[in-house]
Amino acid sequence: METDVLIIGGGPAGLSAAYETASRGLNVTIIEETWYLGGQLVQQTQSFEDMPNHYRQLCGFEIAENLIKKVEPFGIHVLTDHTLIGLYENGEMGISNDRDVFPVKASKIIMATGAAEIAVPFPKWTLPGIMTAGAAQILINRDRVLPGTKTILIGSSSFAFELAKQLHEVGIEVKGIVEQQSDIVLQNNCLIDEIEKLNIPILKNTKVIEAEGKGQVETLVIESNQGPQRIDVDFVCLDGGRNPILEAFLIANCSLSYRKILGGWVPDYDLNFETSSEGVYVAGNSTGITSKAAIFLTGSLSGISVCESLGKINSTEASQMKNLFWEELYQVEQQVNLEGWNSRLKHIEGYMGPNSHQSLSGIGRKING
Amino acid sequence: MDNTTIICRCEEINQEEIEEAIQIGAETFDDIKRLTRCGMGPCQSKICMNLVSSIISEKTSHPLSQVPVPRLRIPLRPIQISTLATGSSNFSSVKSVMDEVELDERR
Repeated sequence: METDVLIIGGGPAGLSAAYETASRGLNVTIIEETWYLGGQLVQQTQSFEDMPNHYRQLCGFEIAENLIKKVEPFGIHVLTDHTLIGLYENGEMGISNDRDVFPVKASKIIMATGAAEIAVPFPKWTLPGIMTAGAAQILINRDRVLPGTKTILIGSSSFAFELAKQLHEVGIEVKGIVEQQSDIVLQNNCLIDEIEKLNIPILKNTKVIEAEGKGQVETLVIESNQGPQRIDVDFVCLDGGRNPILEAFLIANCSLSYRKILGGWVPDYDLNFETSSEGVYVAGNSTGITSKAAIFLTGSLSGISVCESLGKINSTEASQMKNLFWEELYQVEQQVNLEGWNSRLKHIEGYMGPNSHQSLSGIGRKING
Repeated sequence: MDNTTIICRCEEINQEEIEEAIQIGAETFDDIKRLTRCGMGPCQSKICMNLVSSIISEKTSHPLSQVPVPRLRIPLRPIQISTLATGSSNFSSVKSVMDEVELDERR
């Protein structure tokens, strides 16, 4: 099978890249390992303040619907239930649908593999009923299945608070949000107020001792300076943060650098989002986890770069468009995550050399806010 | 966490087994993988990679930036042996997987 552009991952970044490339006449194929497009947006019923402007009023699944509709007219070849399993020596990607393995030859590859949740280990955390926050959200919003009736959340990011709200809305008793540190991770005061109004306790300086239960979690033992406490639950949600999904990059021999602020190990890339492996581009959360806007905008940026490289737009037009997308990213991130923005530019500098980002007008001067 | 806390749930490797591997000199995820099978189950280290890296960093005092990620091999996802073994309708996958084997490994 041959295609101009092969996109690995049909989430928001992959779809954004697909739009930029397919709308300029390129033949685009998307490989998606689930049975649907839209990625994590599909089960997100919340809206996000760190979205690109035109998406800020919409909730996750509506944005997914919008994006899918936007790419529909361009005849993208969508292979759902397909996964990347390897790379052949001649550069072709090995794709499997669980029955066949076949090679795909692409002029350019855009890897939009996303991010994965990090587990939070404690004694007996592998008991059935203990799941990541994302898994609980998939159950209630995508699969319409209640994971249980009473729960507790470990970790205090905005996602944990959002999930607490959503679990409460579907009638689940949320017995607390547990944070080991003295401060919660979430900065948004409105969301904290909402949680307090729902009488969900926020338990700071509290650590998890262990889970107990026969064949399934029944009790979570936590401890604060007031001593240990046994919480009666039938499921537990873990929020340990996220990191970029790297397998595809490792198989393609892309070099990585460690950036704690971006989520750990991140593939190296230049201002065009091309990795150290020629013709392999990166988009979305696998470029570093900074804001929701970055997922869409890095997807668009990698798509534009691919179009430029394949001669579908000239370099003047390409650099104008890239500047617009970078500018929009800066506008969002200077408000919600300037540290993440700076870390991304440092990551690019670390790979391309000092001050390399100054070739984009308007970006260079913004590195330190 | 205590010594019995499972770190790799696929292969049921606990904290103590990972610490033992570090005590006898393991410094990377791949070292621990070779010594314990940690990360070799169905999820192929998706869940334990971060947990193991944190333990290595803590026990060896190497910063996380000096704890490399595991080496991944084809196939990235567990696939049925029949998928690999059948001369599938449009492609002989076994041949192509074997093509990837380095000559000196084949001998």
